[in-house]
Amino acid sequence: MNKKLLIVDDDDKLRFNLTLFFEDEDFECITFSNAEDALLYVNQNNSDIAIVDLRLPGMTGEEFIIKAAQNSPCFQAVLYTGSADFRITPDLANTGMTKEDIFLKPLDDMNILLDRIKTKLNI
Amino acid sequence: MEKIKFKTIILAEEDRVFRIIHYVTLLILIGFVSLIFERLILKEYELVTSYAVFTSILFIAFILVKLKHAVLGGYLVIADLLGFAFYISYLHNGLNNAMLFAIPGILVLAGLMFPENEFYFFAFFAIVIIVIIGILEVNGTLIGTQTPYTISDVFDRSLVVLLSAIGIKIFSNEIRRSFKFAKDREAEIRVKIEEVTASESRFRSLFDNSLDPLLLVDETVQVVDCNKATVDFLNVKSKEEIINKDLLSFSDELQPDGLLSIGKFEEIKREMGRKSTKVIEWVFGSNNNKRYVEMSFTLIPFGNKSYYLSHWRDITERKIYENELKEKQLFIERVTEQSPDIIYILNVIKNEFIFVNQNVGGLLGYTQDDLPADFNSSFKMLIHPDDISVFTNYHKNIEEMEGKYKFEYEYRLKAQDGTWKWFAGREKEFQRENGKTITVLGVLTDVSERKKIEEAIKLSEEKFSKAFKSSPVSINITRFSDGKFIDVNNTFETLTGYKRDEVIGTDAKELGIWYDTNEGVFLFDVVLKQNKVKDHLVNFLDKYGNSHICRYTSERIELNGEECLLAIVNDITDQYKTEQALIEAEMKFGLVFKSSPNALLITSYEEKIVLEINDVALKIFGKKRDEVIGKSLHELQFLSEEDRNKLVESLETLGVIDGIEMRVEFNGVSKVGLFYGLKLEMNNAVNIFLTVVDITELIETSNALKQREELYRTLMENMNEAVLQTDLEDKVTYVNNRFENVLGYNPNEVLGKSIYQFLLDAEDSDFVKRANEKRKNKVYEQYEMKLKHKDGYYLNFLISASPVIEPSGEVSGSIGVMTDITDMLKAIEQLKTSEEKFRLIAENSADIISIQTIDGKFKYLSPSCFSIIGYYPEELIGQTPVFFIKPEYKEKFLNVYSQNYQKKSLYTVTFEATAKDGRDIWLESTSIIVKDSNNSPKEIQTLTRDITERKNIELVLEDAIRFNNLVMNSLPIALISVERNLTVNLYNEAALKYKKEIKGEEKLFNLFPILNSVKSKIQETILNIKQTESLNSISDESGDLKYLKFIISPIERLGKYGCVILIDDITHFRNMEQLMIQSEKMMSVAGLAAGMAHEINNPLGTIVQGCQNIIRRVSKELPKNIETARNLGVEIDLIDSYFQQRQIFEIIDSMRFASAKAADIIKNMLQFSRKSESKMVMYSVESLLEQTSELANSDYDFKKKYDYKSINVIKEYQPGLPEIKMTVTEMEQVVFNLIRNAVQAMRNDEASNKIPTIILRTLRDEKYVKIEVEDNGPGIPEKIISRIFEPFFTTKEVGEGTGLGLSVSYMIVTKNHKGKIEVDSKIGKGTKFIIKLPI
Repeated sequence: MNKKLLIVDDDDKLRFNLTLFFEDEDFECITFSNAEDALLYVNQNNSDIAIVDLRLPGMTGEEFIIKAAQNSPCFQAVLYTGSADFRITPDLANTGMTKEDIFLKPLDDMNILLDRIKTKLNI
Repeated sequence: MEKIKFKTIILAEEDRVFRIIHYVTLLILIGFVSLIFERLILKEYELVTSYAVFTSILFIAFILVKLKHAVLGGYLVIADLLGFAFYISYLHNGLNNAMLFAIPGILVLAGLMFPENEFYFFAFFAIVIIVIIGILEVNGTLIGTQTPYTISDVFDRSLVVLLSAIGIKIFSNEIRRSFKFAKDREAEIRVKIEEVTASESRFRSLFDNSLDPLLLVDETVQVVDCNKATVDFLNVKSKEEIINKDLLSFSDELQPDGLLSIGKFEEIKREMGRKSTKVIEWVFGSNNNKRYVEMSFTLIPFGNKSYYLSHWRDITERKIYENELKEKQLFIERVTEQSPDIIYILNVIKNEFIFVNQNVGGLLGYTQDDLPADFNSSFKMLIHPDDISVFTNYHKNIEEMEGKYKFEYEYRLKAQDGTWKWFAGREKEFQRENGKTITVLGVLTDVSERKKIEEAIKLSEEKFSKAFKSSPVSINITRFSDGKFIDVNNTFETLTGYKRDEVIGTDAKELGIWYDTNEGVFLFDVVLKQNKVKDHLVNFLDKYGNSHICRYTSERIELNGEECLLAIVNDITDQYKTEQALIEAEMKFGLVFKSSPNALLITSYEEKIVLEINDVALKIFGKKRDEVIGKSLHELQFLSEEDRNKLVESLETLGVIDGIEMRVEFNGVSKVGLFYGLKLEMNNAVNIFLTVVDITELIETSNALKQREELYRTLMENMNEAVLQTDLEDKVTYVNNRFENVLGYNPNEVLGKSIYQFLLDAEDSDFVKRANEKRKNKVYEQYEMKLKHKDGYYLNFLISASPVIEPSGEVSGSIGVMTDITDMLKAIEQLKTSEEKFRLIAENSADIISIQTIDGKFKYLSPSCFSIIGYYPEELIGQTPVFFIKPEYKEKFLNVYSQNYQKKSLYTVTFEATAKDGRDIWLESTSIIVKDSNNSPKEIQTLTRDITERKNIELVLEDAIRFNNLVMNSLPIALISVERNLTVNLYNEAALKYKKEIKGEEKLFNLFPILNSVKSKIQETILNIKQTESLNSISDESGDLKYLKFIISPIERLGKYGCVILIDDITHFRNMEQLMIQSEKMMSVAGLAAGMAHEINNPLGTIVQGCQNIIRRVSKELPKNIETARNLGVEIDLIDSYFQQRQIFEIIDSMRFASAKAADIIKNMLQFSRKSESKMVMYSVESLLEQTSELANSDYDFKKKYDYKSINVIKEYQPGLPEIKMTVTEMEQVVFNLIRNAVQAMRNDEASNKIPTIILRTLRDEKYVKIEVEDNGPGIPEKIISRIFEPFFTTKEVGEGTGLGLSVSYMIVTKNHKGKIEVDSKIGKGTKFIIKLPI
């Protein structure tokens, strides 16, 4: 069965491109342009992993991950952000995230992100 | 020689022939002699004569043979024989007959000339002729033969001829044969000789051509042969001048040493034996051209003769060196020998004297002969055995001296006369090897005289102490200040019973030795005032309470600077007791006798010998007791004969003498006495007891006394001295007029008053009381005393006090003659003070005060000369200052002296001197020439000051000036000092780059045209005396813009204000400042960028991802792509080919690349805005460098592009550096940046052959830890070095760098870490970046 991948990013062009990429890798991509919607979805549905932008309208990516992790303990995520100086906060670290889970835009080689996700999902 | 040999051989070979001829001749001779005898017997005398002729010829022949002329002799024999034969026939048959024989004879002889066969022909022919002649004769056809021949005659003769021919032939043949043999031998030998000669000539040429002179001499030293070198050496014309001359004849001009004499030669020969070689030295030539030769003699035996080959070697040069050396040594020896001191060199390791100069002989009285041959080693024997340890012990420790060896000591040496002399020695290190002192050089100066004096002082001290100790009289020394005993002697111990140790430190009172304590106090006072007490009778108590009557004498002395009392106490107790006993015994009988006011004497009855006499009587006699006792009155001429008889008569008739008045004259004194006498039996003898009452005075007193008193009174009244008379209660009974004059008291005021009431100070009263007490014992004395003037002040008097003795002999008071000595005392005091003052000044002055004679010799020097120049004043007395002045200042000193000689003014001269210990000191002498009343120079008074310190300070000052100059000149800032009139005064080296080279130009603006830009400021400074500043930018010659800062400060110079102009090139600083400004700008931009980064990164992400997606979606691998393409009727391969051919992949790649770079810029710009929100941690710089280096090692880009591993990375980490607070990732970024720049720079420099090297270094200075990244790349050109930290400034190719690396590094280091980053680069050598992080 295809893994379910949530993509949370307010940039729809980017979202589109990510979807195209991961669909080719046989992921089931569900996209959100804000965190609130995505959180709603996570609370009601199962998903395998999420690619989250940090800067989002309203709730930030960080808050989203923390909250999602509280609600569904199996929730996993990687951060994909344009903020070059972001560091893992302790709260994020509590959700099981490490600095390896942070990817800076623009990512020169998407395969790195893919590899990380596969590792996290034990594929 | 060979010829001799040759002849010998020839003779040996001829020997046989010789012998034959010899014997044959001898035989014939004998035959002839016998013939002569025969004829003598036959009495044919005629024949004897002719035979004798032939015999004598034969004899000659024999002699010839004997003389080895064998051939000649042989022929002579033959001729003689033939002649004889001819003669015989002549005698027999006349001439014709003789002729008959002559012809064949001649033929035979002629035949001898020919070889054998021809000879026989001749012989045969001769016989034929004889036969023919014979036949002719027989026939008688021949010329008138007297006796015709018979056939037998002919036969006879023919036979004779034949036989003789054969004989001759055999004889001559033998000779010939022998001669031929000899000739062959000769030839043979000649060949041999030639051979020998050839080899001889070879040796000959060796001999002749040898460079050294070679001579052959025979046993008598005659020169047989010599070579050419000899000829040259002896400077003669040819060999002939040398050969056959005595070798010794060349010694005419020889020097005395090395003479070769026959005797010497004989000695050589003896020593040589048969085969050895002997070498001697010889000198040729005269003084200026001496040549030294080493001659060897080699024995060459030859036959029974001996020759000597003499080989000469010219050793002149060697000798000259040797002689020079000798002379030098001699010179040094002479110098040391002439030294008045003993000089020696001592090997301290072996403790042996290596050298001692011979002057030791002079100093110690040894003659050369007295000194042992191995004097040096036996010198030690001269040292006094007690002192030798001084020597050896000291030298034992020499190793510890480490070359600072200097030794001063004194010891004794034995003089020739057996006395010991003292020497003061100084030693200094002489030779040193392997850091050890090997030998020392010592100088010994005779200090016996000084020692003698010291000894004498010691001795006298010893003597005193001995005398003190062993004196039979008790002596004690008491300190004045506290009365405590300092020392007592043995007699004191026995006298008092106290031990010395018990006594010392206590006082007399404590011991209780005074019977009457007051007496002790009293005596003490007397000594205090009069300095001494003499023969005072006192009573002492000993330890056991026994009283001792003693004679007490004490004196005030100074001992070790303390005032002391030396008391001599003579115990006279026993004596006193005896006296007392006697007195007591006599009391019974003689008390009256003794104490009677009348003259009493006892004489024997018969002889009138005086047995006893009392004092009063003695007074009359004017004699002493001993002179009187035992003498008769007659002898004493006591009374006249008449008067004596009168007394005797009265005694005999009346039994007594009862008041006979008589006049007694003694010593010109006439006295009248009343004589009483009686017979007295004493000790079984009859004596006369005679009493004489002197009534002279009674008779004479009444008027004489009056006259005398008048005389004295007048005298006293008019005396220059005050006179005071007191009674026994010390009340004034008389004063003279002078008393009033001197002391102001009217006689009437004071008569009857006690002197203590007005005249004396209370504290003196006791003394005077006691003194006047002594008057009662008729003591005269003198003392000084201060007396009170009527007006209340005190005057000093010298008082001569005497008792007033009444005619009765009783003392009725004292009389004092008082001389006012106040003024004298004052004068003395003043003199003393002024003398003391001078002495104190001189003695305590830190400067040397000296008095010199007019020719400069010291008469007096203050003791400070020891502390300043190390000499004691005694050492310099008699010397002139030249003694210690350094030679180079001598002339200056003498000049100054002679210039000032006639003037009176002070003059000062400064010079350098050498102190006794060798120190250099600077002295300044100020002198004045003192003149006497005739105005001619008398003496020089000089004050000499040690100004070494001052001189040193001057030197320091010089140093300081030099230092200032050095600092000035090493400053990068130009400094120009200008006078008020704008002429240049001084400028430093940094100013040179602004200076124009104009000769003789002094004007500021001409010399430094650059200053024209601040002309007004300079003028302003000078006018207003105010500092001004100006910052100007000026284009230099190469057109570069320079920023110059001018600071113009006023400076006072000799009351006028000029200025100092300071030019600081701040271009670099300015550039950095600009960079800072730019950085600030960048930061604000960066702040903006931070906000924008996210927004830009998102679209960039889209682009990058989009590009990746495009590539993926045309990939031939992806099944979806294959499927989709196939569905559209296209093969994916075709699409891929299309993309390839149309270079779409490259387009996409370029887009990806551009996006990545944009992202990079954004990332870097964010760094500017970062407010260090990241964590600073304590981190070691070493770990930082290691980590970064590791990072570079694994960096993909580095590996790929630069082959980082091939770069030689040297790590020089200083250990123990502190950790630094830093943001590790940022610092990593900085260091990584620097490494990358270095690698890139070196890669661009691949043309050079250097091995690319990076040095990572950590260092520490006071406040910072420094990180250095150094490469050996091409270096940074000067033009751009100031811009490298500018943002977006890059020299790299487009795409290789952002131009932000160094500016970001700059920001990280300076803003985030408060550190510094600097660059140091040299073109062609490399670049070094230095990061300083604060500790």
